[in-house]
Amino acid sequence: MDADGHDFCCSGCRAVYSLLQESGLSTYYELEKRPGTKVGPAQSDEWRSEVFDIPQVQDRLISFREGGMARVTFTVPQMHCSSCIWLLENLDRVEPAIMRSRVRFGEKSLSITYRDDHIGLRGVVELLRRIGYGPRIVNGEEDAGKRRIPRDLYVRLGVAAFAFGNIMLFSFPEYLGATDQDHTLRRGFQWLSLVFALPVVLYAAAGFFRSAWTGIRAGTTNIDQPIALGIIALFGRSLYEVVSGVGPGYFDSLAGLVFFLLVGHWYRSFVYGSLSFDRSLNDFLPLVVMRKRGQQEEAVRVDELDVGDQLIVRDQELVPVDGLLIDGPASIDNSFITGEPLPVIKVPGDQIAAGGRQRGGSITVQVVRTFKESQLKRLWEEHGSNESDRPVMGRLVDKVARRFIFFVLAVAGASGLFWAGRDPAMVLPVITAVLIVACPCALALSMPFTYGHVTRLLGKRGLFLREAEVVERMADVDTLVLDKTGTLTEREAHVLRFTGPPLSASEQSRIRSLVAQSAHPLSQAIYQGSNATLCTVSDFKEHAGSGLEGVVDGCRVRMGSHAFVDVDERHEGQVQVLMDGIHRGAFLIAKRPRPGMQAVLRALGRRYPLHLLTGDVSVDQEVAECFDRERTHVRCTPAMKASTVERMGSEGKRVMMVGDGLNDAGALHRSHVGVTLCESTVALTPASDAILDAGRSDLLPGALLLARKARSIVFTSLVLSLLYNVIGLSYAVTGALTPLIAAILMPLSSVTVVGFVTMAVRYAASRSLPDDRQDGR
Amino acid sequence: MWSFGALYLQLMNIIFLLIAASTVVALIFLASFIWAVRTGQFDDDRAPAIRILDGPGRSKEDMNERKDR
Repeated sequence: MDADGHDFCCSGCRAVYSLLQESGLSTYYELEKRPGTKVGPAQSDEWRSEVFDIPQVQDRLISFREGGMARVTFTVPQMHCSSCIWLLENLDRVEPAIMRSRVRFGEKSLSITYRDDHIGLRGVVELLRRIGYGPRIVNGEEDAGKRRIPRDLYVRLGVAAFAFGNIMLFSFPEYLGATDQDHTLRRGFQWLSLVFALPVVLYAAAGFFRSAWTGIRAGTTNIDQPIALGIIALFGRSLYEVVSGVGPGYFDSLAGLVFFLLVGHWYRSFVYGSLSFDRSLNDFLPLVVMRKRGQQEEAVRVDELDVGDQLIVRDQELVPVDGLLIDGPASIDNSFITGEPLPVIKVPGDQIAAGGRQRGGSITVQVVRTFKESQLKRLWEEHGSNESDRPVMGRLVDKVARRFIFFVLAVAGASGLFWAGRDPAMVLPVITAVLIVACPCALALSMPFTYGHVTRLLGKRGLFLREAEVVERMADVDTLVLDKTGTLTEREAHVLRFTGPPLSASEQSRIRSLVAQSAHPLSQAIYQGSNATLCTVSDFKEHAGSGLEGVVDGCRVRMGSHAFVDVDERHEGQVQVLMDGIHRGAFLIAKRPRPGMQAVLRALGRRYPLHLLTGDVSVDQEVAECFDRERTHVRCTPAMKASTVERMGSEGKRVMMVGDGLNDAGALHRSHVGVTLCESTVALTPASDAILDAGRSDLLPGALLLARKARSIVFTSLVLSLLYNVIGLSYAVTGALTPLIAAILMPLSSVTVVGFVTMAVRYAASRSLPDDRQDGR
Repeated sequence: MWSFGALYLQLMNIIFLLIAASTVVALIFLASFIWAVRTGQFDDDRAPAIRILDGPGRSKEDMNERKDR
């Protein structure tokens, strides 16, 4: 699409362009080469805008309100580039009733001050949605701010960097060979170094001691223990040297060590800080539901509902409780809980489980079980909660640390014994020198940087990992299990197949005209599946839960279930078609496979055995041919999916499960790596280690390859850092570790290891991942 | 008449003074860094950089308007 010489991906983006053009905001298109987010159709799980007129909702969202002004803070996950920031901060030029808008990019939050009497909360939300930055609104605690890098860490970094720099300056006379003539100056510098090293040990390095102590108390080894030991040895030895006046100590190495380690910590929170995996089930419930009281409706919170209350659920809204349908018919989409792709028709008197989404007109539901007792909540609590009680796999770094710490203690002891026989005065210096030089700084840096880079590169392309260890587990994977509905197939789009003899043009237009009258999802699928001309329908009747009938073009057409059109159950297809009493055939309706999925499956299948788990009865040809017959499991309930994955796990397979939500939660939880495929940023992702953007499933083979490469990069860097340690140790055990050698060796090893892994990961990623599609960043 | 030893002592005193002064300056910078962190200046590293570029004269329209005037 083209306007004013600009190229647009969709009409939505062009609409945004003209809106901005009118408001004089076209700088938006000058700041970045490809700004903006694609304006898609409204997402089905988005709340209707009328919700924002309800006072209770406003009270929850508005943080401050006075004299016709209000302030509200949203999370806007779509913002990703300079243009986004620029536009969102200039909202007042689009809408004069907005007084001020401020972005916090790191948290992806936007706070807006607006004139409440002019535009209202609903207006603000609608404006944001119109320009493609619809806010994410969660029911639980406001999550902006939780993801920030702790300010504390910056202060610690600053203190360590400050001490590192200054102590190094103070040490220059020592490096350059100061003589005894400058005795006062040397002593002065040594004492100053000591003073500056105190906050480094007591404040900046406190986290390492805490973590090491936690490990000791739990009886486990972790990487922070040799680090803490090294810091104590460094500080103790230096303190002794300075106080007794025998030498300058190693304060420069100490401060440098702590600084580099903190850089590693910062990098880790930098990579993982911007991700929020801890979404609770509450975030998915509506903020308020409409309870019927007499003839009136009132807005109440979900937890205020009691058994027996009646509530009104409108189109696209979630039924938050287990209930009984009073006023229907309802068309309930249970894909959220069961994975069943097509909506189920319910008639008054039927049970509706919590978590179903109404599609169609508004319905009235009577509460049978409150949300807390609902099946949905139970399903969630069984295996959906994100406080993963997955058995903690030994982190590779901690495993290495365990061997390392014993090795270091052994070397220290042996060299101590050796020197005890020759020169007892050397015992303590040699032992401390060993502990100092063996401090696994490079070891502690190589993993966070390698896996951090991998995570960042994958995240840029649309695969988000929960934590660094996921990369490690991905490298172990040897079996892939995929869910079908919503994972291999799209959630909304359908493919149609007609079983009978081909339909003529006039027959097609009859069918399309009839289904055009109905809002039922199957009707809509058939309607969208053809483009025949529409003609008038007379005598139209819709029988809820069974079918449609009407007279089109002088022909009586009946469409619907087997029972409705009275044909044999053996005919396949969900929608049977009867024309003037003659059975014409039936429509088979299935979800459309995601584009490119076959290629991805073939690529994955070359290396991994692929298993398919689906709740469906049958599998379409296109999907089925990618899987071995015996590895295709149909009619799986969520519990069966979970037990299948668990059985594979107990057979010793490392399973990666790819699923799409709560119905796969059990299986995701029991897998080695659980990946949730997400259409939007607001999807529910329980028990998953990784979230994959639904459009980027082509990343999977490359990501698995990169994970394996990353592991060998880590191994190489470990060898590299051990090499440095061996060099250092050879100085230490012979008693020749001077402060200068320590001051060169320790930063050098950290810098080379970090540099090596950064380059190696970049190279590996450029070889194994498809190109970054967003060139904005 | 300055002896060589006295000159050396004088120099040493100046060095001590300089070290003290530079340490104080360094501490002031550390303190202001900590203040900056605590007041949230490191919370967002992207938006403020864009904000400063924003203003009249940034976009082509603004430029045209100015020419018209």
